[in-house]
Parts: sequence; structure tokens; C-alpha cells
Amino acid sequence: MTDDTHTYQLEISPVPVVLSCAISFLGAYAAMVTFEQYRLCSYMSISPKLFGPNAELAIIAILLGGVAIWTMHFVGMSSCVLKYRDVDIVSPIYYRIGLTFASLVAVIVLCFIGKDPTNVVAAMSFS
Amino acid sequence: MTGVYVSSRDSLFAMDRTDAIADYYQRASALSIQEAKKKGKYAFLIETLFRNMLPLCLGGIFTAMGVCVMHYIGMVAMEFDGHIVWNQGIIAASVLIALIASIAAYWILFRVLVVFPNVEALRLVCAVLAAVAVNGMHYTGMAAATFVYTDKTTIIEDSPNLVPQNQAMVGAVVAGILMSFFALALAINDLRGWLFSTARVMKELDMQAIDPHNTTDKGESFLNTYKTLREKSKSGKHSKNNKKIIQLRLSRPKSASDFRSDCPDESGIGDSIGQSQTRIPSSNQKYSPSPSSSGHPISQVVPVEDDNKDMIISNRVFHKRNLPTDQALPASTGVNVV
Repeated sequence: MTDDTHTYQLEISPVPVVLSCAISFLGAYAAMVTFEQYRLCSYMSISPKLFGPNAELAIIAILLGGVAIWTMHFVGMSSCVLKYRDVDIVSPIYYRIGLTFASLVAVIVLCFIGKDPTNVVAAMSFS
Repeated sequence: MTGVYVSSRDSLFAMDRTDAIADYYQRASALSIQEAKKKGKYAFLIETLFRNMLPLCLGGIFTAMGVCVMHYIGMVAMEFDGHIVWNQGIIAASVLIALIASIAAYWILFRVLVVFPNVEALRLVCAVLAAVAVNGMHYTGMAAATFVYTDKTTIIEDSPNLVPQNQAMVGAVVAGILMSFFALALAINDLRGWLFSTARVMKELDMQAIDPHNTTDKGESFLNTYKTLREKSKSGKHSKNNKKIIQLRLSRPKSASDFRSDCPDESGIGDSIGQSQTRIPSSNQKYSPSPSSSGHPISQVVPVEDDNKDMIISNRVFHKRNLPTDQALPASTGVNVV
């Protein structure tokens, strides 16, 4: 680190932290409850459903990845306040929209894969 | 455990749909008393809880990867006056936290909850573990970042591609609520489909239950039904038409006078559905209790000795038609036994 660089003073406000913990817990619990429906769905995987078990997996991925991780992340990031050390001024933080939505898509896709890697193996073997 | 557990491609990759539940109870019932005495009391349980860990770890790795990739993409998306210097050791620690906690959550979800599905506390613990995975990874990952600014301040342009932090938080909360409602709508819709299918299965089971010759008990007949339907769904896994046919194999034959087909076009063997004949109890005397009968009204049904073959009932809608019992069957609607 050269002489002309300075580190920010990172302050974390507690309210968004608590909020982010609550959001991630609620999203994860909703995903776990939905997983029971997924079990029932695949138990009765005989008859026509409006959606198959993969739709249940998609719901779980949205709840876990979208709500419990992505929303939690940006609520949690809003807790951090960057302050210059020498002057008492808060530095504003911005987010790039494209990368933000790319992260949402990435987490949902990876959670969808991670909930049942069997699907990936089957898709690879059938294609 | 020899001979009880049949390893197949399904069980190799099976994450555990409810196959694991069926498998567990099948193995538990097949486990004889001697074998249970040889092994310890909890040995079987422990072996069940810790078997087939590879897909579990694979799923945990994918999900931890999702958490980490999301977090660091979100950090890279930050735009401020300066840049971020990363501490690689803390990054590795955050990845490890996500990995361990998500695998633990998946272990509870896929293994423990399969054996003890009614324990709500386990589900809470599982959600807490997932939240620990996410939050621990997030704040450890934030601790890995050092925000650095130089003397030359960069002025961030007011471009439409950039969102300020407060708006990003509000937008994320709104998007989270929207995603929750979307998931709720999907889940309700899917539950509706599941209820439909369950109602159909229960209808078929009810038809089995009123069969006076059905000597098998309900659990066994349910198991047979489940096995038949399971084979059906396995064979036609990727064709939708196969799933739409629910067929039951009844263990006992019916007499010719008991069932009649009401639709003439359904009576042929070469049906479009194939091997499905619709035969219904045509005389509603069987189902209306009469004071002259002794005992239950369905005990009036007179069995016929020959005709030992199995009978298949399709899942078509049955229309009852009132016909006198002594009326002879038309030739076109003769009873077809598959």
C-alpha cells in the first residue's frame, strides 16, 4: 500500500444486520417447508400435476437463492457505511444494475442445481 | 444388510426423493430380529443416516458455490470512490463456513428429516443452519474486504446503470417480497395439482375398499397400488401420456353380472388407451342398503368361482346406469378380461 492510499473506516449499523438475518432465516425456513411438498410431490409422482417436481425445485431455489441469499445480501450490504478517516464525510456507494441481476440469476441457478444434482446427471446422460 | 439393499443406478444417484423413506422402511421391515440383535440398537439408524453421502456433499458444494458466487459478484458490483483490497485467507474461511454449514443443513434436510419427518424442530434447526451459512459467509466475506481510497477522488457519474445503496436495499426487499409471492403462487398451484392426483388415487383406493372380495388389508393394497403406479411412472418417465393413466390391478376377480360397461365404444379391447376396460357396478342395489339383507349391503354380491385372471380398471369417469340385474348383457358390452 503506497502512501497516497488510505483505508475507509467501515461502520456497520445494526438494524440492517438484524433485518438481513431475519430475512435469510425466513427464506430458508420457507424453502425447508416447501421441500416437504416436494417430497410429497415426488412420492405421488404418478399422476399429472400442473408442474412436476422440478417446479418445486424451482420454487425452493427462488426462496433459498433469491430471498434468503440475494435479498439478505443487499439488505446486509446496506448496513455498511464508508467514512473517510480524515474528514467526517460518508462516501456514497452505488451498485451496477447488470452485475446485480447477474448475481441473482447465478444464485438461483446454482441453488437449483445444488438441491438435486441428480437432475444434472440425468440431463447430461439423456442429451 | 445383505440382500436387503439393492444398489442400482437410482440408488446411486438418488438424492432422496421419497424413495429414501420407502427404502428406509423397507429395509427396517426386512431386517430380521436376529440381524437387529447382532447389530446394535442404533447401528441401523446410524448407517441409514450416513449412507450415500456423495450426492449430499455435491449438492452442498453447489449451494455453497451459489452463496459465494452471489456474494462476490455483488461485492464486485459495488461502485464507490476507491477500490477493494481482498484478504485471501478470510475469503477461504468464508467459503469454508458456507460449505460446512450448507452441507450440515442438507444432511438434516435429506437424511435426518427423512427418518424423522414429523419433528418440526429439525426443520427449524435446518433453516437456522442455512441462515448461518448465508450470514456467516456474508459477514466473513465482508470482513475480507478492505475499502481503500486514494488521494485523487473519483467522481461517480450519475448514470442510469448505477443504483445508490438505499435504493438498492429497498429494491432488494421489494424484489424479495415479490419473489416470495411468486413462489407462494407456484406452490399453491402445484399443491392443487397434487391434491387432484391424490384425490384420484384415493378414489381408486376407495373402489378397492368397497370390493367385498378384496381380502388384502389396506396397507398391502396401498403398497401394491403405490408399486404399480411407481413402475408406471418409472417406465414412462419422460412421456406425459403414460402418467395420465392410472391403472390398478385388483387381486380378486369380479363376476360377470356385477360389472357392465356403460359406454359401447369403451368395450373393445383395442382401445386407444390400451388394455383398459371400464367395468362398473351397474346395479345400484349393491350400494343401497335394503332391510332384507343380512349384514352389510355389499355382502350381497355373489362371487363367481372361475375367472381367476386379474382385472384392470382404468381411471375413466364411471357413469352409473340403472339396469335391472337379471337383464342379459349385450354382446357388444361383454366383460373383457385382460
